Amino acid sequence: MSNLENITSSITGILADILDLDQAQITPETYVVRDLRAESIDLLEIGVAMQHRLDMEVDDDTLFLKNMRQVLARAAKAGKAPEEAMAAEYPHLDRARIAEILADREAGPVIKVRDLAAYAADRAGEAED
Amino acid sequence: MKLSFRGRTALILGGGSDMGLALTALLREEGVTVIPTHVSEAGREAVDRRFPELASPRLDLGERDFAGLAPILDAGVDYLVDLAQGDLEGLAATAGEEAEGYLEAHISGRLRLLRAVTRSMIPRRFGRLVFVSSTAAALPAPGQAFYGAAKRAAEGLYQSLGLELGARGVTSVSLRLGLVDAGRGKRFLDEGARRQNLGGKVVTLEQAASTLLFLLTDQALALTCTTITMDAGLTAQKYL
Repeated sequence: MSNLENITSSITGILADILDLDQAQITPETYVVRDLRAESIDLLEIGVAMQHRLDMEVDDDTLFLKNMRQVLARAAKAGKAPEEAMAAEYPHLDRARIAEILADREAGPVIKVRDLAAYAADRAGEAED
Repeated sequence: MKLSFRGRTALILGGGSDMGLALTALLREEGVTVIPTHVSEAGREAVDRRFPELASPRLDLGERDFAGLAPILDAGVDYLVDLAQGDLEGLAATAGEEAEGYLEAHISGRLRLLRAVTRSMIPRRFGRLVFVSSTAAALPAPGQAFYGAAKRAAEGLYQSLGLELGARGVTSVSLRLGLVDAGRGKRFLDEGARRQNLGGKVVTLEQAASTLLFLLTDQALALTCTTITMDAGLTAQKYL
């Protein structure tokens, strides 16, 4: 099992515990809010659980893309491409995922399980560096 | 009545104050491990004189992060008693940079600290937050604009945290104290004939510390998301 798979498994376990769900039904493509109905207080707890169980510092704002609207508004005001602004603010997301998010954001909260895993993998990589 | 304590560790902000020292002594009698913080050298020395065996980390609400507390929070804190409050006399109408810094530290800084502390409590499904407020939150005297506003804002933060995190076992209460015969209250009372003029409407240090101790007990946990006034009747009457 790769490091990313291990991290994803840990995260789906955390989500299952906190949201009282069957872990097998949670995949990397599952939306955390749209599909799992996580509320703000759940997101707080998910962030805390990731911090403890994965032994890493977690910045909720970055993990859950909480400031995305402001990031995009600032980019628009500065005449900057939204993709560039998103890549600078959320370095754990690759370009393909950023494009997906930008296309998908009008449909509701965009965060997926794979985004949490990408964040954790990125942080773990930083720790190893 | 036998009082019990579910938690084992208490973090006391402003632990070098008279009230912090008195509460530390009471908690230790109950077998609770106490971590009293200090912001000034005088506070550190006060803790060291009374409890030389206790480590006292420095904590300043005005600092951007509280990295020094990380090992303590990682180990787990059950109780937070917040006695941290600087003095700043001034009128709202003349507020300047110093006032802005004071409010930033005592409101935003306090919120950052509460965020860090509650993160230590949530995974353990238990935490008790006790804020030591003041009757100045509701009835500030001229010159207490920033002190009173900071206290009132902090009461709001504690109330909301209790509401938001109650289902995770974290409760909160604020205690509005009137004139306490210790610290800045004692200095105020010692001026002129104030002590006599107030007709006994003074809270003793022992009363304040004992009440704080009670608020930390399991028996008091239903006192949450609320503010209690303890001022010996000072603010109950129309005129003094």
